[in-house]
Amino acid sequence: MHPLDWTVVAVYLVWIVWDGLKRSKATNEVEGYFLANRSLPWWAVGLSVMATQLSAITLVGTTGRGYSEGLGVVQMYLGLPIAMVILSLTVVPFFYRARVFTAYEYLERRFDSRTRTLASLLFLFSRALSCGVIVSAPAVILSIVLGWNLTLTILGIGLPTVLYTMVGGVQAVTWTDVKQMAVIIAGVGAVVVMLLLQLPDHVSVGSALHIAGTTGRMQALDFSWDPNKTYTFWSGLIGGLFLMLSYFGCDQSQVQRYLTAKSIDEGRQSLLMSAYFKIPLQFLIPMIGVLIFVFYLFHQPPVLFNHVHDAQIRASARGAEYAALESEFAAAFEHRRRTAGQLAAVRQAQDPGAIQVAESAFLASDATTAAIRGRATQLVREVTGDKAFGDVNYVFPTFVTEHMPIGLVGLIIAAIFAAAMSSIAAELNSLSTATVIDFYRRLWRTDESDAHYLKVSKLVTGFWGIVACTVAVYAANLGPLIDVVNRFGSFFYGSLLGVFILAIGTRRATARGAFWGLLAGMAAVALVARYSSIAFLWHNVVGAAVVVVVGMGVSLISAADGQKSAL
Amino acid sequence: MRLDVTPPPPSQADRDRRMHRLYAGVIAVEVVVVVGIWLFQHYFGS
Repeated sequence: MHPLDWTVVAVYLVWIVWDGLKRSKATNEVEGYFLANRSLPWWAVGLSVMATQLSAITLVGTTGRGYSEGLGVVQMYLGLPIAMVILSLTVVPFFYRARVFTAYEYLERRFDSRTRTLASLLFLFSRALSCGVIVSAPAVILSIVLGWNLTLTILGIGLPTVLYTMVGGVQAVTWTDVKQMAVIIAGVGAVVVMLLLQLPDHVSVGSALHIAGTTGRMQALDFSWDPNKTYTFWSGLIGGLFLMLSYFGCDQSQVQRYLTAKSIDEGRQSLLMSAYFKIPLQFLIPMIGVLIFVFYLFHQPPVLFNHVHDAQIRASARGAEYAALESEFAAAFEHRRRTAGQLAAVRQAQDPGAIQVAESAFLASDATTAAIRGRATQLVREVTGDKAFGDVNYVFPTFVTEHMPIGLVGLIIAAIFAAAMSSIAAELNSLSTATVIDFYRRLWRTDESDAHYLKVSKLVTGFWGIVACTVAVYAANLGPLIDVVNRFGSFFYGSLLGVFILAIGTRRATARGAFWGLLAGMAAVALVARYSSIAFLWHNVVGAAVVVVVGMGVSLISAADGQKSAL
Repeated sequence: MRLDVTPPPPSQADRDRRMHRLYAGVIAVEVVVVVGIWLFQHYFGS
């Protein structure tokens, strides 16, 4: 990286840490540390909600997905606006009036301490692991693309975040999130502008999008009812609705954002900001991947975007085979570039017959190029033994470092850092809140001063930061662990939503029903995930439905038993 | 004589009306965005 890019990244880190640390002045009691004394404006909380959800995995992984598959991933967010309206009408006033610190605190008031403990423990376990993955995933990619040391990259992302979150609490998290969101938007905007400027002279933006459309990458909405397809209109609208209801309504890392708002209405408005802007933003991010695909139609891409694997294969016994694939790929690229240029030219001439011929020629050459890349990927799998290898996550950072101008490379690396740090900070803060409020203050040291709890809260934030960085180092070397964490999250989310539906939706649900319903819901999702190929977005629906049915069943039976024994 | 021009704080009913307008706006924007995406894919995808 050029010294100017290093300077941009360094300035970003110093600015964010300084901004976070200065918030410590307004944080001298536990309510201030965890909830900012419920004083923050809706727009700051709203940006914080969006920044927390938009992690570096989203930024890098979704652009990669856009490059390889197109815009279909946007469908995952179709249920989000409806979820935000439902949450604004239900849980926001509920939690706010209950004056709770954590979502799980409410479960003890409604049910019993056992349900609260189980829900909070599940949150701590899943979030601690996912926090490690959120640090690890971008660190692995950046360390490979930029040649940085992995452990130092993890520390470079993790330590500044731990520092300002530990000292400044939720005020630091929220106000740095606002700035980080600005950095992310600036980075994303810069990439879009540069991609459009780098189109060849004879290819208009419209032609570029038409060419991408020829390959199916513009297929954003899929109205099929196939439950095995990951992203369809219906899985996004219904499964996504349940996922977003549980994420924004039951996950402490998000609930804590809107509990810091000045009033119920400001909390609601903070969620509605995502309802208005999230889908357009999530449309733009895979669109960057599509534009990178168009860019590489006219500029020679590497066979593999992961340089480490590329070097490994060259040095292996099958290096000659790889070199032959590279020559084949270069020839196939040249042919594809020509056919893409011809397609753009005939599109401008608007000759339907010629367009059809040019489309067929382009699609055939694109399939040849993709097949060679597929063979190279297979070669990597055979040489490295990494059967899950895929390099779409390296497309965006590789494009940025190799084709963006000096200065903007630094801005986009800073945006990737910002996306990671904003998510990590919110998670560390919420992990600390759940630990101190749901366990330490409730079970271990019940009668200490506010200053004592504040000190412990800061130490616990630091502790979770160390755990996250440690998990990140190990997660980087244990690829399947990431799958385990994501899978565990999907077991947990829908089921926890079911418990909150029981708690808020009906007075008949009992503590016993909620507890056994939660366990049954997670078991059901585990079975569905193990023995069917139903897409993960539907798991949330299954989890919530099983919890409600089993929970109500157990509640009614236990209530009937109670009445019998009373007689 | 100096007139006090500070507007009175909105009543609960006013606040509720405003929130309901925001909720309706969310649904309207979602419909517009989904239709927009569909038109976009229809135009560029074929």
